[in-house]
Order: sequence, then structure tokens, then C-alpha cells
Amino acid sequence: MNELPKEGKGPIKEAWELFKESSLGKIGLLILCLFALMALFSFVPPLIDPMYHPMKGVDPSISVSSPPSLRHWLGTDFMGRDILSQLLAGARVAFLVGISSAFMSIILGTFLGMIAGYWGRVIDTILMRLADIIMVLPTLLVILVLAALFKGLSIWSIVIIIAIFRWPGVSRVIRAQTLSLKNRPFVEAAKAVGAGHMRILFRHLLPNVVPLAFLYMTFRVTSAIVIEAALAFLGFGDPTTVSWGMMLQWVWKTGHMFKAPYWLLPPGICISLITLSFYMIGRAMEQVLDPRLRRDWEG
Amino acid sequence: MSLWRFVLRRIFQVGISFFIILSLLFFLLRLSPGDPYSKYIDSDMTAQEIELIRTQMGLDKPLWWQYLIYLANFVKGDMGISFYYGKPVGEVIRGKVLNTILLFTTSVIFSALVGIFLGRIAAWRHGSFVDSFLTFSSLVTHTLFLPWLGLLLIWLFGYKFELFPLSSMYTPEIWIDPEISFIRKLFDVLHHMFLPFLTLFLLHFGSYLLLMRNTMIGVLREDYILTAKAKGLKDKDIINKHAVPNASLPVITSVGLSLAFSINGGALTETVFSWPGLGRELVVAVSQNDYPLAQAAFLLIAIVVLVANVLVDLLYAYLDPRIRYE
Amino acid sequence: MELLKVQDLSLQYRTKSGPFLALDRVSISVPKGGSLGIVGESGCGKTTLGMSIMGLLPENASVVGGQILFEGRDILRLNPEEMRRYRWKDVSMVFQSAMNSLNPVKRVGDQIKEVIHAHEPAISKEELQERVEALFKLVNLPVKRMRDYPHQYSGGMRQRAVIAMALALNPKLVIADEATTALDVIVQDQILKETKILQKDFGLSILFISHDIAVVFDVCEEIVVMYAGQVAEVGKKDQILKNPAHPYTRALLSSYPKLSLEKERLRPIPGDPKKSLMFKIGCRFVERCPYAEKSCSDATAQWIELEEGHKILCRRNLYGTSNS
Repeated sequence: MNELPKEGKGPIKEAWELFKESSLGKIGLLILCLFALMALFSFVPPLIDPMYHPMKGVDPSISVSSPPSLRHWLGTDFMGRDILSQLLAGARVAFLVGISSAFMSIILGTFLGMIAGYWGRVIDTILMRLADIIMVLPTLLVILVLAALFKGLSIWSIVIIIAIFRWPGVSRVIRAQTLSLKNRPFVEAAKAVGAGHMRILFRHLLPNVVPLAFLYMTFRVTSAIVIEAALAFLGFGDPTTVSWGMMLQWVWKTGHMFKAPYWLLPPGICISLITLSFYMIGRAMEQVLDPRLRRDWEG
Repeated sequence: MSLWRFVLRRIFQVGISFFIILSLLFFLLRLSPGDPYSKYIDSDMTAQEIELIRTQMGLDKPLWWQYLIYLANFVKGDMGISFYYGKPVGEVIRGKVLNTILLFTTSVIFSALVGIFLGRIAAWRHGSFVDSFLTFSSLVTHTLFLPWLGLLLIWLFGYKFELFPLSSMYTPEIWIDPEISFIRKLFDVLHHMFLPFLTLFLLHFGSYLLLMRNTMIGVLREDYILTAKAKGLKDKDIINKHAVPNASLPVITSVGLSLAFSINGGALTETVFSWPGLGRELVVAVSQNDYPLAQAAFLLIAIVVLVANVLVDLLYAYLDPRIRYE
Repeated sequence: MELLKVQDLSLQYRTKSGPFLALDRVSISVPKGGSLGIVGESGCGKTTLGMSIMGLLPENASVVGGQILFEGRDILRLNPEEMRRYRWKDVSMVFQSAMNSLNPVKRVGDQIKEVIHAHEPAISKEELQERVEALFKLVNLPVKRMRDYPHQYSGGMRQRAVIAMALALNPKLVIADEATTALDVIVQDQILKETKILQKDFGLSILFISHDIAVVFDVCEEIVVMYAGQVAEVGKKDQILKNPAHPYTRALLSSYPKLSLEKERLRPIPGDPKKSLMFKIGCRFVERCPYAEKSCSDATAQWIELEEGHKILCRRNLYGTSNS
């Protein structure tokens, strides 16, 4: 009987080899690492000097937006808070939002995709119709309506709602994979031994499907970050967290757009750059994904 | 004749989707905190108006009855009263639809056309510097943060170089003056539209370019291209008469698929540029907790997107003979 | 003068793992009005040969020796403009999988009109229409289907359309590459019959490439058997049928204990540079030949002429009567 491939050293190593061939992918990864460093580093400044706290660290000697200086490498915002610390904190939020939202949508999408693929027919049709409708909806706008209804959203609600909008994409791929695996010998064998549906799903199908799901995660992370940034920009973000979108909102609403390029440029560059890096990685991933989709996953 | 069947089927599907969205909103309203009633009223309203809304929404009646009233109201075009404007929502929204359509459709059409045009060049010069340049620029422009790009453009071209107005759709003085010709008024609008249009355009042409390029590279490997070469046709004819028509089809399909995504950008752009469209209205409504207005703006946007979807599908069905002549 | 004469053509492909010699000193000739069939398994180079005659080689291919003479002119030396004029007018091609040879978004009639117009720009619309109608009648296609799209045709109809297109400019030579492979047997039979009639009526020369021996023997007067980029045996149809002298030909005709050639297909092996087939001393069939001796891999194989018009590339003349 076929041995199930263990969550693979083999396939992952191969994927890495293929990935390395793409220079675009490598650059993307590099940029991403830089941002990760930024995020990690964001914890440091407030510890050194409370003045550098992104939200509360007001510089007593400065009360207006000031250009970069030795003390504040990127200058200060309109309240005298250090922009660089805000930027670092924004990196932290971006990763938080992006990864958790992507993670949730992957879990949801994998689960629903497997169910749709495995049980087929009625359940499949219902789920896929639902997926179609969700895909047609403009995420940002729906969240806005929800914000109106629920009078403001916390960062976690935003994360969860984004995840709810992103599962259809994942589920389609997982469903296809499940369909192709459903009738393979190893599943038949499991059934013959008397394994129940749940067992088949979790012990047998899931391990074969999960690597694929994670590969698609790169595509999910960016949209979460961008949506959160857009919401923050419009003023509907979580007022207790500093994000890049929030920084842009402040520049805009306080009328410093024309006066303070050192404040306007960095957050926008960061959002664009992190999105770019994910896209680059995504394109390199496509090269990895294509042959793998055709590959035989058993034993 | 199968074209008609196709159209009817799409309209039917779209109708169902919209109906589901409409209903979902109804239930969401009732699921949200506070009673649904409170979302429609505001302390500024007179007792008369409050009473009017009570009866309109039929809150003393059973749920399914309320649902029917809700649907009926929508069909009548009665969406409640906007707190912010103090006027019926319908009046507020009416003018904005065209503005949104104007900005949105022109930018989508242009980005698709330019994307196809440049993508063709990139594919034909596959592997060359031109190709790498176009591909990379597409990737970069596509990932820019939309509101930020808008702000940047306003700053540079509106403020620094003073080439374009900073916001809104037209200059009131020009429009009010009856002496000024229509052409000048039209030009004024276009002048105001340029930067928001450019913002949307820059963001979207890249994805069409990349898609066209990749599709065309695949098409160029097809047998009928080999045949065309064997027939002794000129290179230029092979590309334009054989490769491009085939490669353009998936790009058109993707225009339809990405409409929902691009309308997000449309709303953001309208907000940044104060362009008086549905998207901006939605944002304003939400920030003012004006639920009736928000709901109406959203539904209308949904209709615009769905209709656009059907039109794109129609275009595709017309262009692809495999669908037209089933 | 021969209509087409390929002399000692050698051609290689640049691949990721080094150069691959697809054609090794191949020589064939087609007389005016004659029909030559080329048989061999996939990968033996027959399609490459057909492509080089049309000048349709991919970018990574380069000719490293030999000539292709069409009516005395070396095709390999034509400039792009001359090549464009030569294509389809002098030599046209009918490809495998006719479905994909036709552009799915253009009407069938228009695609034929296109090729006529490209070579005779001065032609009038009416004459264009007449010519295509005549072509349709020639291949037994209903004229009113001219305005249809390829997906509306059946497989057999598409094949006929492609044949009609190939004949549009009254070429002197038509190359058919696996032209009937995708068709079911009955349709195939019909088309082969019609092809033979057309050939006689128009004095066409045909170069018929296929891995299906039965089809080739049906249509062609002369046969070339290819293996691994080389010509293994050449002869008239009857000569080969009566007396297949090359071990490979024997195997193909299945009149000898099988060498299980069907399962073991020769494939270019890009991943293994040791086996890249460059100019190799010795016979290429050595690995699978039941009669191979040591001398077969050490010295170049020779042409042995068995009878007038029938020769093989082999060191050991095992079956035929020899003149030498």
C-alpha cells in the first residue's frame, strides 16, 4: 500500500531549488526580510527612550511637523512624534495583519475546499456558488458598509473579515486537488479498511493538500495588508494602532501633504514596496507551482 | 441566436447575485448591534419623519413582511432619508452615478487597451530589454498604494507644477456662467478628471499588460501561428491578424473578473480627489454614520459593477466565434 | 532534374544540456510528380526534415552541413523575402492536427483567401471568392461552409479544408506531416484516396511523413526509412516490401521477431550529455540491432546498393542481394 508522503522534505526542498532560480523571487525575498527586520526592530526604540513611542512619544521640544534631523531621522509628524518609529511599528502591524489574515483564509479555504471536493454535488454546488458571490463583491466597500453598521471596527475584526473575503480563491485550488485525489488508490484503501469520512479527510487528504495551500498564501498576504491600509487611510482603521495607512491619513487630513514630503513618502513607499516584494515572490512561486500541480502526490 | 441565450442567461445570473446581495444587507442590518430602526433615524429628525420611517420599515410587522417592504422600497427607489444631507437618499445619489461611471469606465477601457497594445510588444520582443522593462514597470506600478499614488500626483502635478486642479470635478464658476461654451465646460471636466484617471490607469494597465504578454507568448507557440508562417505571411500580419485576436480574449475576460477589485480603487480615488461619485459618497456616509446613504451607495455600486460585468461578457461572447456560433 | 533534392543535410538543436544532432547527413530526393514517404518513429528527425524544407525551423536550430535544393536553388541560402515568396507557393504543408492549424477566430474561407491574397496582392475580391469556391469543390467541401469557423467543422472536414488551403497556390510540392494521424480510419481512407486523385490530376509531388507505415505505403511510390536522424533505407515501395534489407526496416514491418520498438521509443535525451548524439562513428542502430557486431560501432556505416534505386546504410548486408 502506498505510504503517505510525510509533510515533505522532498517537495519543499525541490520547491526551494526552483524558487532560487528566479532572480525576481530572490529580490522579493530580500525586501521582505528587510521589512521583517523593521518589524522586529520596532520594539526597540520605545524601550530606549519613551519619546520614540509611535503613538504617545511626543517630543517635548517639537510641536509641529519637522523635517529629518539627527534626532529624528525621518522627521516628526504634526504632533511632534517621531516618524521613523511609526514606520517601524507600521511594519509590525503589516505583518500581523497580513499573516494572520492570510493564515485564517487559508484554513477556512482549505477546509471548505476539501469539503466541497470530497462530498461533491449539493454541498459542492452551494459552496462554489457562495464562493462566486463573495468573489464578485468589492471587499473594501463591503467592509465600509459593515463599519457603518457596527460603528467602527477593531484591528482583529478587520483581519477576520478580510479572511472571510479571501477564502474563495484558496478553496478553488484545494477543491480541485481534492477532486483529483479523491479517487486515488490510497483513499480507496482507507475506505476499505473502514476509515470514516473525518478520518480520511484529516489523516489522508489533508497532508497532501496543505503544502499547496501554503504556497498560495503569498497571494493572500498582500491584499490583506493593502485593504487594512486603505481602511486606515479612509479613517476607519483601528485608532489604537499605528499603521502605514494611518500615517497617510494623518498627513492627508492635517493638510501636510504639500509641506512634508518626508512624512508623505515613507509610508506609501513601504506599502508599495512590501506589496511589490510579495508579488515578486508570488511570480517565482508560480514557476514552482505549475509543475507541482501536475505531479503525482502519492508515495 | 445563441448569443441572445447567452445574454439572457448572464442577466439572469446577475439578477440572482444582486438579489442575494440585497437580501444579505437586509439580514446584516438586523444582525448588527442595536435595533435596525435606530440606524435609520437620527436625533435631528422631526417626529413626523421618524413616524414616516417607522411605517415604511414596518417594524411592528413580522420579519418576512419587513423583508417584502424592504424589497418593495428598493424597487420604488425609496431608500430612506440621508441624515447628512437631510434629503431623501435617492435625490442625493442620483447625480453621482454618472460621475462614477465616467471616471471608472474610461480608466478601465484605457488601461485594457494600452495593456493589450504594450503586452503585444513585450511578447513579440520576448526576452529583450524592452520586454524586461515593460514587465518590471507593470509589476512596480501595479503594486503602488493607490491613495498614496493619488496624493503623490496631486502634490507633483497639482501643487508643484500647477498643471492640474487639486480636486473635484469641475470649477463652479465656469459651470454656472451661461456665457461659457459647452466645449469649454467639457474641457474643464476633463481637466479635472485627468489626475484621478491617471491614478487608476497607472495602477491597472500593468496587470493587463502582463496578462496579454503571457497569453501571447503561449499563443505564438500554437500550431496555427506556425501555419501562418508557413503560408508566407508577413510577420506583422501574423502578429496582428492571428496572434493578437486570439491573445486578447483572455484579457477581456480578466477585465470582467477584475471589475470588483478595481471598483475598490475607484472609491479610493474618488475620495482622494474629491470626485463626486458613488464611492466617495459611500465613504462620506460611513464616516457620518449615515446608514441609509451608505446602503444605497453600496447597492448602486454593486449594480454598476454587475452591469459592467454583463457588458464585458457580452463583448467577449461577440468576439469569440466559438461562443457566438455554438 | 529532381524537384527537391536534399543533400547531406545535418542539423543540430541547441538544448539546455548541450547540442543535439537531429539530422545526420540526410539525403533524399523527390522527382516531379512523384511521391516520397518518410517513415520512422517519433524523434527520428522526419518532422525536422519537413520543417527545414519549409524553412520553419525554431530559433535554436542550426544547419551544420548540406543543402536543400528546390528546382536547383538552395533554400538555405534564401533571404527572408525570397523565403516568404517560396513558402506556400512552391512548397506547402499539411500539418498534423489540422484543428490547431486553423486559427479558431477566423473564418475558414478567409484563412484561405488570406494566403492567396498575401502572394497575389493584386487579385480582385471576386476572383478571390471564385478561387476559394473552386478549392472547396475540389476537396468535396460544401461551398456554403466557407463562412464558418473551424470549430463548426468535423475532423474530416477540417482536414479537407487544410488540404484545400495547401493547394491554394498550386504548389509544386506538398509536404504532409502526420496529416491523417488524428482521423478515424474511415475518414482517413477517404482522404487518402482523394489525395491520390488530386496528385494525379495536378501533377503534384508529395512528401508524406508519418510513423504509420501502412498509410505511407498506400500513398507513396518511394520510401525512405529514417532512424535517429539518419536515413537507414531508401527504395521503391515494392522493393522494400519484398526485400526489407535494413534490420530496422524489418522491425518496422514486423516481419521479424520484435525488437519491441513500439515501447522503446527513441527520444532525444537532453538530460544526459553522454548520450547526446553528435557526429558518431558507427551505426546508430547498434544498441538495438540483433545483428550488431563490434565493427558496427567502430567504423562508419556504408551505403550498400542492393538494386537499382534501393540502398541501405549498414555494414552488413544481411538480406539483400548485393551488387558489389
